[in-house]
Amino acid sequence: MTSPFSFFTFKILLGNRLPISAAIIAALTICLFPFTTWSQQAGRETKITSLLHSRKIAIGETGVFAIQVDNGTLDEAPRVIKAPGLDIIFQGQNSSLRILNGVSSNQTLYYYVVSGQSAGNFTIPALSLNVRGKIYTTKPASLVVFKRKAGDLSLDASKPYFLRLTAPKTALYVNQIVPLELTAFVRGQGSIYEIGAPDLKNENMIIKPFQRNVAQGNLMIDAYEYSTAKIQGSIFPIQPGQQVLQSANLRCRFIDRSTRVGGGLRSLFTQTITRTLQSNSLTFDVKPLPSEGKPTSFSGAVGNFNMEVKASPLKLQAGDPISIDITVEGIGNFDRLAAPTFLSQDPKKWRTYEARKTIDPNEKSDGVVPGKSTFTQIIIPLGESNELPPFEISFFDPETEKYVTRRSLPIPLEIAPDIRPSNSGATLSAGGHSSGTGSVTAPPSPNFDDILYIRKNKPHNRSIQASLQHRPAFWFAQVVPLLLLGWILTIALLRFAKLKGLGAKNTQTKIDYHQVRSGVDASASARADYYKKIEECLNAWQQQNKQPLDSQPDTLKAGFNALNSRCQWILYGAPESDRHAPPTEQETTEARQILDGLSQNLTSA
Amino acid sequence: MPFLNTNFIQWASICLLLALLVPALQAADSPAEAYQKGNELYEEGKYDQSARLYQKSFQQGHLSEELFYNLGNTFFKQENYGEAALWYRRALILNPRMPEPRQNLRTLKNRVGLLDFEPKGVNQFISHFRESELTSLLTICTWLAVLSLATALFVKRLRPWRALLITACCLFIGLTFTAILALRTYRKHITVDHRAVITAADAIAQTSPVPDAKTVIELPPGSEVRIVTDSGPWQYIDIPGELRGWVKTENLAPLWPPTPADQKPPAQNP
Repeated sequence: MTSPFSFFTFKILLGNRLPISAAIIAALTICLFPFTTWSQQAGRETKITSLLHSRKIAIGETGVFAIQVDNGTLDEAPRVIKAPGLDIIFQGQNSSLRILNGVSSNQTLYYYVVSGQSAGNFTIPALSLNVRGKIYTTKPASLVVFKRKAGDLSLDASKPYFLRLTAPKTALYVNQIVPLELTAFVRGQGSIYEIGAPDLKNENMIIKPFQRNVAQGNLMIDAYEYSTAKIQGSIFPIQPGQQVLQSANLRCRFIDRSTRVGGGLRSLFTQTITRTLQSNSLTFDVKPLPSEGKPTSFSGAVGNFNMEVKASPLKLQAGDPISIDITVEGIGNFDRLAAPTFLSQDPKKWRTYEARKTIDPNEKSDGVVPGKSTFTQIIIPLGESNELPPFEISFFDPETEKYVTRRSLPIPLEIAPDIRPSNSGATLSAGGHSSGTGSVTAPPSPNFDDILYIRKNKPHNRSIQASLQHRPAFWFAQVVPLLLLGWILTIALLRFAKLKGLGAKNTQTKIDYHQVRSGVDASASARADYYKKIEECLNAWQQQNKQPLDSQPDTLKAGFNALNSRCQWILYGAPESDRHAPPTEQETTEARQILDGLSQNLTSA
Repeated sequence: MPFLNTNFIQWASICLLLALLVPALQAADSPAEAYQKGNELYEEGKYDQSARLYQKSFQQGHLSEELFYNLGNTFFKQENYGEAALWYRRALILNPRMPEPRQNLRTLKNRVGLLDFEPKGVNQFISHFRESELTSLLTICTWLAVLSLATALFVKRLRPWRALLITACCLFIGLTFTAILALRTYRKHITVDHRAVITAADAIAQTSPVPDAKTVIELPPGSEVRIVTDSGPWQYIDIPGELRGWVKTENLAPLWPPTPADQKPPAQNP
């Protein structure tokens, strides 16, 4: 990961080879800053924080200490901070402006260079500082100064640039978190411009993301001056055994000294190059967590934690929710820390919901720096009670090499019985004792407190069978509709063949229309016989006529169709009584007229 | 008579007695008898023995929704909620319209907060049918559509009813497509294939198949999951709520085919 912002601001501070464009932007920002923000920041809360980029420095090396002031500036920044055993000297300051959703906020950082003369643990004391006449106090910060070993192979002055990977300890337990430090060294003062995201791999270790802040410093190695850029991360193993963390790769942009031009203009003509630096590897000896004495509530957390439980409200009715905030603070692996166990699991007394875990990204523990995690949980009392049962967390302390269980104290509560009308309404309604005032009562809701009784009827014995498509009976059953369809199609086919045969016969012996027409007997006793003759007559006319029916005059066509429809109805659709009745005079007259018309048309054709 | 000596009478008596006893013994060990005895022991509150007799009945080939449901009840009474949910769900596979296991599953859900792929809307309606019923509906509707069309086209005697037959044909075609869609939905969302139930009381789904992996979600006993990949000792599963995770094979039991509680099938390597 890169940290262009912090790096850029650092450049401004230390005055190293500032690019012209950056200087112009910085100047404009500084000039415009009072006009844009002063009016809005007046009412905003001022906050002061002390920052230490590295908690560990070697004798002769320098570290960076900063005071961050949000929404304000120090009336006077101290030039020197007095701390026993440490030299802390003011280097410069940097301001930045942020506008978010139209609301501006500003931040000022005051940088100090820290160095130690002798090895040991030192503390930078709490500082009382004035902002617009009001006194604010920072938190104390601890720093370790150590003596670097003379034969430290990872510091190789024969190389113009190199990368070093370090961890404070290599003997660990599974899930024990430990900080990692990745430092780029480039020969020459203020040489490093930018570094990228480190690339580290090990399947048996969880590598936490590296911080965005880059701490820059200078170091003398064998009479050579080196620029250093340091980023910090953390790691924890998940498998026991010897785990090798392979060398890390880090892209770094720095000044190519070979192309530099001397003189006052050198900053304008500075050229940078980008290289991927490769670090040393680290070997960790990872011990498994002991199985003896492991508490039931242990979730894999390794470290040392303390817990604080707050509940709200403390006076309530049964059925009302209680919001529980559990803050866990300490040093260790917060990722493996599960929600504290609620020690009353009786569902009849308390209904619990899943806890939501929040880890403040600014307060993450890397195994050295303490961290904080918050669990928020909702618990509903289902009856009267005078206290909230305690919560419990368990973890493995790598210092004492023992499991530790911490339990909170019960919280006194005042829980009154639930007297809400919804329950009583439902009960009244279920019991049939409604008051009869006409008010609408809620329908009774089912109660799922217990299961239904067993079934004692004669069981329906079944068998595990293949799916329907794989049962022979299924395919056998298809035979019945298949036969039915075959029968229909066969009859249709036979009829078609018969009709075709008749048609062929008819073409050989053409029926004369006039002959058939003369056979239409109006004195027929049954309508069916009469219309049968008419149908034959119409068929003969169609066969004898050269022109199709569509090309005939409309009146003739309409008459033909009407007579044909009546034939179809009488012969195939009419009730038996109609079929056997004699044709009326009107019917015969109409039929005769249409047939005569057809006859004339045939003659003219 | 010489053949009616004392020995003969003794042997004949023994044979007759055995002939009468054998069916009686068989009856005592029959699945129906075991089922009845299981019911009696349940009424006496001897749930452990009752469960054993039900399982014996099942092992002897008795397969019914009543047996599975009663077996689920015995596990519930012994607070083995995972197995109880498993047998309730198996009863519902045999008879999806049986109300008792459905209601007891709701009770169980209320008690342990189990997770399930609760079908909603159309899926819920389809879940009340068996796959074989939907297949039968599809087959019958297809045949009726074909036969009504063939009758309308080719049977001259029914020509006056042609409009009615064509309407019926359209109706059956519509039903056929509905049955196809229902069957597709069933096979996608409701089918028993790859479904499993969490039987262990403290099962968790994890992000990877290693013991120290992070927890995705705790799986209450009786929760319903779908197996995506079988990797021997670990199963990669679909969890209700559009989640996925790895769970130990020993913590779940496949929903179908049914196996007795103490005879889980061994994990199969892919």
